[in-house]
Amino acid sequence: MAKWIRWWGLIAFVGVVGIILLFWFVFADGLVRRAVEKTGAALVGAEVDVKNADVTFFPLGIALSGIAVTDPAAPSSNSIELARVAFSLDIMNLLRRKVIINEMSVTGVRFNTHRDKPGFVVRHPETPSARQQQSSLTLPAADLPSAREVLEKEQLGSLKLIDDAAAEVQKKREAWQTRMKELPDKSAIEAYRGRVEKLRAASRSLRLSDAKTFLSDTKNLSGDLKKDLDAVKQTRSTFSSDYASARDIVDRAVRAPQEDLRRIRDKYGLSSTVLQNMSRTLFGGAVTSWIDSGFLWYGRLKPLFAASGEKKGGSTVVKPLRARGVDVRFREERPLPGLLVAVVKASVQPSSGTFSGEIRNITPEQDVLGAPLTFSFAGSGLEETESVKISGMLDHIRPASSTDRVSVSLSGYRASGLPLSGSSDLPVTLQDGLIDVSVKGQYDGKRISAHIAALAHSVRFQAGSQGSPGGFAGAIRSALEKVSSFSLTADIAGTPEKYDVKVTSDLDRVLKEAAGRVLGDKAAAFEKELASAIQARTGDKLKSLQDSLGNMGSLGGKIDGVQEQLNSLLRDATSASGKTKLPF
Amino acid sequence: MLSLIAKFLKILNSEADPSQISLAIGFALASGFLSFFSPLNLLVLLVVFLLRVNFSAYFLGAAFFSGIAYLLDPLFHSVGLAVLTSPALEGLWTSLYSSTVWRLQRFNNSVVMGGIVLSLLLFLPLVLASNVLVRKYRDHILVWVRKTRLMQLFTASKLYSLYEKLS
Repeated sequence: MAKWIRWWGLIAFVGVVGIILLFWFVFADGLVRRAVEKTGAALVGAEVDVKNADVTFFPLGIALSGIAVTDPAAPSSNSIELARVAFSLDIMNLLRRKVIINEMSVTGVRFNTHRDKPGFVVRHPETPSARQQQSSLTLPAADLPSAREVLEKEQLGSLKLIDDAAAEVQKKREAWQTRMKELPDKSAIEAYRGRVEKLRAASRSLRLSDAKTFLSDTKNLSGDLKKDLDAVKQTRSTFSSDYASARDIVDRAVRAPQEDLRRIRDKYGLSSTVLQNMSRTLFGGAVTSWIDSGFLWYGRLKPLFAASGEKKGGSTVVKPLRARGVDVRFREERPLPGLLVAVVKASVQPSSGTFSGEIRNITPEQDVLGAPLTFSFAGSGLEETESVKISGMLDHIRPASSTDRVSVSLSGYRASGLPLSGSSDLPVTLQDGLIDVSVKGQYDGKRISAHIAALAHSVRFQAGSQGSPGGFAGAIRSALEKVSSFSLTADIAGTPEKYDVKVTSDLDRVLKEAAGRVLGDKAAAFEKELASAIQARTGDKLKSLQDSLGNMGSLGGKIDGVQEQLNSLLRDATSASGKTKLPF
Repeated sequence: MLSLIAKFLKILNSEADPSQISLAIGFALASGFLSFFSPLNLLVLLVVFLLRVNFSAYFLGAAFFSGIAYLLDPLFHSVGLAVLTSPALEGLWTSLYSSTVWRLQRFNNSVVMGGIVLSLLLFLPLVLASNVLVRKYRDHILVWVRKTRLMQLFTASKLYSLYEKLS
């Protein structure tokens, strides 16, 4: 046995373990600093710097100072800087790999600060979505194309309609011209007239022996006339119906050039719809950008308040923040989350006034804790804002039915150099202004719904540069220069990937009037030119079509003439028999 | 690399008992597959220090198996996850999960558990196989190795002299 045991090895082992522990004690600050930097970078997607870390062992606590979080979208600046973060840890829970922090204090918070050198970016933020790009201010073209250019590109639907109508009318006209031959012609009418004259002559010297023949001839003539007359009346009725149908076709063809005009004018010209809801065009991009930015950070910080665990039997499989593999969590007698910061007390140190608040229950396992994350901040007398209140709740206790709510209220926010539109056509900046804003938003894991209401006064806009081209930009600029106050509401609804922003503002009326004044003359000139160009192409065809319809209509007159003649003959035949003096 | 091979050959060619070398390789496998600063690894280290296993073989092997472990991470994860989520073992894991010592070991991580399982499975076969191989090597190949230029160069080096003095 002694051959296999070396007792001095025990002393060596104690020595080695001692050296490892000593290493930990000596280098703990640096190890913690590096761990925070690496975890932070993995979480945020960009470089996180910690100037100094101070680890105390009795009691176990950590104080970090000079934390700078690089903005992934702008690596030369920090999205947030924290002067000091200090907290103590429960050592027994830490041994059980549970990071339980009862209270964390965060002081000296600053946003959007400059970095001495750009930080590295692990994950580049998403490029602006198509929706965002669309929402940037796009002005209607100041110079409209010529009607000739437009008509070279556009197909006139009216031309086909007129051709089709002409073919249809011609077909009907030809059919009726054939059918007209079936009506009693001139010789038939003359034959009737001869028979009437013969009856008249017979009536003047009628003998008893001829009376029977006379009456029979009269009856036959009336019968023949009535038969033809009925046929002509029937033909007239069918013709009227057919003619009405042809007239409808022609009316549609006549209206078609106007429809072409309207369609092309709306496409290339300056329809009233372009001028509607200018505030959506002006503020929509900014609102969309704020929402997208908010969701970007929501997504990045989500691992801190909503773990994506998968249930497997009685255990839960969770991907840890940094470690390899997955952690399988089993039932515990007294369950505690793996990470819990019960309270974070944060205070920003503005140049004037106060701004502070607290966040409660930061944990990725709200289902274990049974309480949602809540936050509440308030500030007053700040340099930029008279007062501000931010509160909200991120409830992921039941991940399948999570609810996030946020409410922001700003009073007397002094806007200065707030970019609203970065469009090269017409950059718009809210140069100065006092704004009261209230925001209420909710997200249920699938859909967003939010309402923003803002009231601005003492505002001064800067719209476009002096060299901004086009009368439209000039009109908007001069209209905005006269605006001193406005109200605005925005309603957001949809999914984070596809949501709709409805903006309404009393600025709409002002901007629409200004734009309409400038654009009205150009639009009218374009419409006039377009109308005459369409008329030039369709005018002759339409005239020919209308002539063709007129020709068809004249057939109706001919039918009426035949009908009139037959009526007249019938009257004459009746009167001839009526004036007859019988010889008894 | 040459230095590593030379060191290994030196160990094989030394007078050390084959059992000491093969046991060192077995413990090196366990240390390489387990997390470096885990209670289980400290236990392995204590055993290595207490038993007369070959230190050089152990440290050399631990470095080698740590590299292998890095490559085998996906295998560790699969094995560990299968074991941890096995319904038959759920009761065992649930009771261990309540123990601070086992929680400190982080046994509930799939990669860690995969390392533990594979260490346990491979320890004995590796010790036995390496024992046989060391014996066969010494019986059949050692004489030839001693004559190789590489070995002659190594035995003439200062490092070898230093090692000879210390061992």
